[in-house]
Amino acid sequence: MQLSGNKHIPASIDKAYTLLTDPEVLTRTMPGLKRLTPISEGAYAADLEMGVAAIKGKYQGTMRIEDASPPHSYRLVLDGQGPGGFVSVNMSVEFVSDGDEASVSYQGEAQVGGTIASMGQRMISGVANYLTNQFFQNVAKEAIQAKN
Amino acid sequence: MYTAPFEYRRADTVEQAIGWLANDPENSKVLAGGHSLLPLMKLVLAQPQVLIDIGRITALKGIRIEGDDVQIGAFTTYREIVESPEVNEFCPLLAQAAQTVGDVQVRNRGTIGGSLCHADPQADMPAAVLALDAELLIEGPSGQRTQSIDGFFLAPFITSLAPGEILTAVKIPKLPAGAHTTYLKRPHPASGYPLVGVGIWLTVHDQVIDNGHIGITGIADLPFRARHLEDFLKGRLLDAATIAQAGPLAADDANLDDDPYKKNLLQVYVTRALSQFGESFAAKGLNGKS
Repeated sequence: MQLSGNKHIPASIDKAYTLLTDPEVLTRTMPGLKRLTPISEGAYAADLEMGVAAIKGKYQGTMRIEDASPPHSYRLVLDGQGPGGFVSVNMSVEFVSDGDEASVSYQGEAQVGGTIASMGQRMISGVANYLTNQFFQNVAKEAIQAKN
Repeated sequence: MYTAPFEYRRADTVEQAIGWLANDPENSKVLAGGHSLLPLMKLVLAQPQVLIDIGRITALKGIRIEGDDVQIGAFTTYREIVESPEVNEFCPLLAQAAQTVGDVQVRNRGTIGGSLCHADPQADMPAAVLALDAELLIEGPSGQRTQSIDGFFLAPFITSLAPGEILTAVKIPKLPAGAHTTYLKRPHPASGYPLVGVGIWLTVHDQVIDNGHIGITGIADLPFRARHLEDFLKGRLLDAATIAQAGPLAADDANLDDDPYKKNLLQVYVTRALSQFGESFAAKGLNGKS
């Protein structure tokens, strides 16, 4: 499944880059992300609790930030495993200044397998879009709070 | 297939169910007919720790007229809806959609509230309740609220219902007298779920469309109202030329991922659904009740 999109964060690209790579901010803003424990430079063990109405599960996995080139780009690699199957995401994230704001583009691929994949890709992408929007809304709130 | 272990509780009142739900809203689930939730639990996709059965709460059952609305308890089964004289008189579209859900067992056990809260984007009922402008009565720890069906579905399987809240009833405004209704779906050959489901009501005078609403389910990532299409139809002659122009407009309100098959399927089913009215008028006279 292709993942791509473009969002605006009301902050400079330096600030936006810092927010999106700060494990504490991510734990606060990413729906379902409970804990990120550093395991090495740019790599974290992740505990996720995904809840989509009736479908709920605890997922464990790793999150790595690779090819980091602050504040312009990095690559996000996520692997997770849980009762419904596995999820792996590999996506590049780019930051470009757009006036007072940072324009964040992401593009990559997500692979979903196991029982959860039998729900059908269309529903998974609908849910993924919803969660991604929530995540960026939360990050935008953090950016505004950091300004004040 | 076995479910993960869970605790089962049977509530006698809505207050009791809300109280139990408040103990651990994230890990509790309300059990209505169970025909969507239990299969998910058997696949271990859903693992609620507490199941709160609302099936014995009499306040949640039944259909009655409240002024200009038909009020349907959340724990009212598809079968009760199909057989209800009130529904068939004042909002027959709801019965037409309920009649096509699943099989006899599902219609005997499954409920309207369960279907709406589960929010499967391929369920039948959303097309009808969207077209009918339903209002949802919701109760939670902080009291009662009403919510329009518009805006209730946020994403597949996600609604605006907060974790501690329970849907108690669905209020459907009576249709204008003489409204024509239809629900037409293309069922998936294996599951029976709609690949596309089109729910329509129209009022027509002297072959001219006065008013009408169209709800569509199954084909996009969310059920939706085809508002562009509704606007186009108002004031036009209900004839072959209008129907031919109308078909493609349903896609304006949907996210179909630029899929040409879905686009075509949607157009074909909207066209067929509207053509049914043409046929029923030809058979029964244009201003007659279908």
